[in-house]
Amino acid sequence: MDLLTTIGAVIGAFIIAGIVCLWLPGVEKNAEARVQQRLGPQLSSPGLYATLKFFFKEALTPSAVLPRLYNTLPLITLIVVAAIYLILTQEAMVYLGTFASLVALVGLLKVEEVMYLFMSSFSQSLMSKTMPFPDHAKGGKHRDAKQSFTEQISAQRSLRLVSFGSLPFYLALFVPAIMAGSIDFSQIILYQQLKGPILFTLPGIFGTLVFLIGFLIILNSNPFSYLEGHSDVIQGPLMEYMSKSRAIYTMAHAFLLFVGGCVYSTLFLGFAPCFGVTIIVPIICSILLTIAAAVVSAFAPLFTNREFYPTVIATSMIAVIAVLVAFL
Amino acid sequence: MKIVLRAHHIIGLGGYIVELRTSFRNLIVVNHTDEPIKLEVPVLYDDWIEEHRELGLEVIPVYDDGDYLVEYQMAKHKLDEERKQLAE
Amino acid sequence: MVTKIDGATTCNETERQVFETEVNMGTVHPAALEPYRVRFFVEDEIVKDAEITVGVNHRGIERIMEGLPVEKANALTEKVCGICSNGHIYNSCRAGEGAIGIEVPERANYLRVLAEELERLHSHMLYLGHGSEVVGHETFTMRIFYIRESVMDLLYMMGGNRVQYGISVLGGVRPRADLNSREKQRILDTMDYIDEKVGAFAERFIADPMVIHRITGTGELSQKQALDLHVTGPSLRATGYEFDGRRDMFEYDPIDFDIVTQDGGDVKANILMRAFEIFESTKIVRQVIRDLPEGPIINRDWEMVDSPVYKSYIEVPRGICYHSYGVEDGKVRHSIIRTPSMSNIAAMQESCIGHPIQDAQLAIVSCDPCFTCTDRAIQIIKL
Repeated sequence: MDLLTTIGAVIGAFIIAGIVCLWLPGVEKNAEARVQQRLGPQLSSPGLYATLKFFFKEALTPSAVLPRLYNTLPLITLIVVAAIYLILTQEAMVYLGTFASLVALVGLLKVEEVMYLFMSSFSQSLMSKTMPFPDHAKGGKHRDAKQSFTEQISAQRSLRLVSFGSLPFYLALFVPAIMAGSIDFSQIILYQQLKGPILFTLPGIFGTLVFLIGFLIILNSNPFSYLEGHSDVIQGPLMEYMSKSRAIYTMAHAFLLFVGGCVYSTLFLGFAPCFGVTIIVPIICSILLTIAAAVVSAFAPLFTNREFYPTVIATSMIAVIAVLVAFL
Repeated sequence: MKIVLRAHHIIGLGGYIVELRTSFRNLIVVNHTDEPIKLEVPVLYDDWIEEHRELGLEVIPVYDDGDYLVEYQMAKHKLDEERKQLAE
Repeated sequence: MVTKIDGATTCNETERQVFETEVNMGTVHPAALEPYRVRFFVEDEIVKDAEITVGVNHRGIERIMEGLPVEKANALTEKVCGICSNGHIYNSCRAGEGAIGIEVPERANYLRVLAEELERLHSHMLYLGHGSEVVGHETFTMRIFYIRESVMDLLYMMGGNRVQYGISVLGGVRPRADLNSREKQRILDTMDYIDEKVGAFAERFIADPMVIHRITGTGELSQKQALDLHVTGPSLRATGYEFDGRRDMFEYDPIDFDIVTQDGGDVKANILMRAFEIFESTKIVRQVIRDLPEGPIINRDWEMVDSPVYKSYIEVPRGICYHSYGVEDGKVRHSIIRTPSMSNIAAMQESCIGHPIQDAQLAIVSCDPCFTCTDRAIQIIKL
């Protein structure tokens, strides 16, 4: 395939991805609603309509350190997620060579996680420290205590997620690499075309389980949404986003949902996204992943550190077992 | 638990007092100072009065046989006079 | 441990501690159904000390009641709160009847008990829903709120409104609140429905290891702390102390019910308390319907007299509610309304210490706080 055709195919793949991903939040909300015996919103509301609606909202200056940079962070997140999709796209793999590999995937996902750390650090909403309330009035406790914004708690939590929260997910990615004997996506796909999908092997089953839990952590989806746990930090890093920034964040989050399905489809089924009929497999994977995330979210409470640490440890141990079995 | 009494304001604590543990029925608290002051609630003991007087508040206890409305209006009148002087 | 004030003259151990930081929440917060301000003094997300500030929801109800005719003052008390509305108007009428010396017909007393128990049912279910939401389990919230709708329908049937039903009046109950045989049967059927559904809910709730892990050991309050801080109601019984204000209410004398207690005083004990009390309430409702005597529902044969302050205590869903006022020329004098949430919330300030911030909010919510009830201070800004 020549470069011009490749570019055209990649653009086509992006268009398909753009159309599909904006329906995934609706699928998620409806799945959760049906579990809760509710009707749920329209399928297009939480993703497509919400994005359009936010674009036309009035943009105020957010209460944040470096507000313009703060507003740019969702765009950077979107670009990073788009880059992940690009390296997964079958047509682009040929030209990207060794860049289309697990190293790039892991690196880009880490950048995406670090974005939350920056968002939390920059956001300084009114909801905590700067609420005009006489906290340090005479008669109060600890009048000289240093005050922090609630977003600082989110920043600490995102640092934990970056440090070890995403460990299970990255361990799960080792399974197809070990089985295929390569970290390149093209080699992993080729291996599965010859020997069948990795999902239908024992390490593949373990890896799938770990992938699902790990991806929920990366998505900050309930029960792992303590970065934005509304019982304390309200929205955490996203508190001050409005109008276009929020629209772009909504798109980035929806795109990440789709890209997760594409990652799974590429590594465990051997079907990478492309501008062709076989893109149906990543689409189905992303829909199933979204529904799984919604069902887990509906049946689990929010995890605090007390539950989060053991979950990460246990999932990582399963991932290690999967890796060891993959070696065998 | 605290409640904030703003500068130059008056409050009747009423239901913030656990009457089973105190000798008074009600407390009228006046903040004559220029800054807000936090009061500790619920009021569980009689020493509360002295502790909060030390913070600069005027605390007027009202007992079962006392006339709450008269005491309140008198304290309010005094406070209004002070506010007028401050406004001038 | 009674919290002493910070000032020039007092100081305790926690004052000397150095905290990493102070994190403030409120007065507007999605986890808080009503506005309040909380300051958490944390060290690596663990709460070392806390300060709750209330009073932002005050409406000066006691001040407005001063000088109002007794009947109007009673109607006003219902506006103290939406969840515990019946408790307030019931207690206010009770205080007025005690002050003036009005004898309430027996049928009216039974109907008042019925309304109070229906309110207890909907309040406890609301607590279960809110608690589940703060834990992060919205599915449980939706399920219990669905069951709660059946109680709201009964309250609508009795009072004509889902909240603030205005059932009690001075001398008895409103004629609208009287029940015919069809309505009585509907109430009995609903009690069967609630027993079945809440039973299934409770079984599912207890069987969920993730939820149980979140709520066990969280927000513990010892019995001694609870008694020192004058905690009442289910929050006190959750520490193992057997005290229920309904035992001292003459309206409950003909009714047989058990006092439910739990151990531990943590969130799990509080949640189980309310769940088991739902079954006791349905038992009480069935007895009321079965034994409802014939007769008038309101006594209009009384005269207004002056009276010194009369004190009335009843057990509302959150604990002991106290209403007290005197009567002079048919008008209310020196009204006091003390609600259980005031002491309960102050106690929760102690119970959230030692827990992560997420659990701290859960601890505060575990006493079933009603800040609307708590905030009624008389703070005149201008006449």
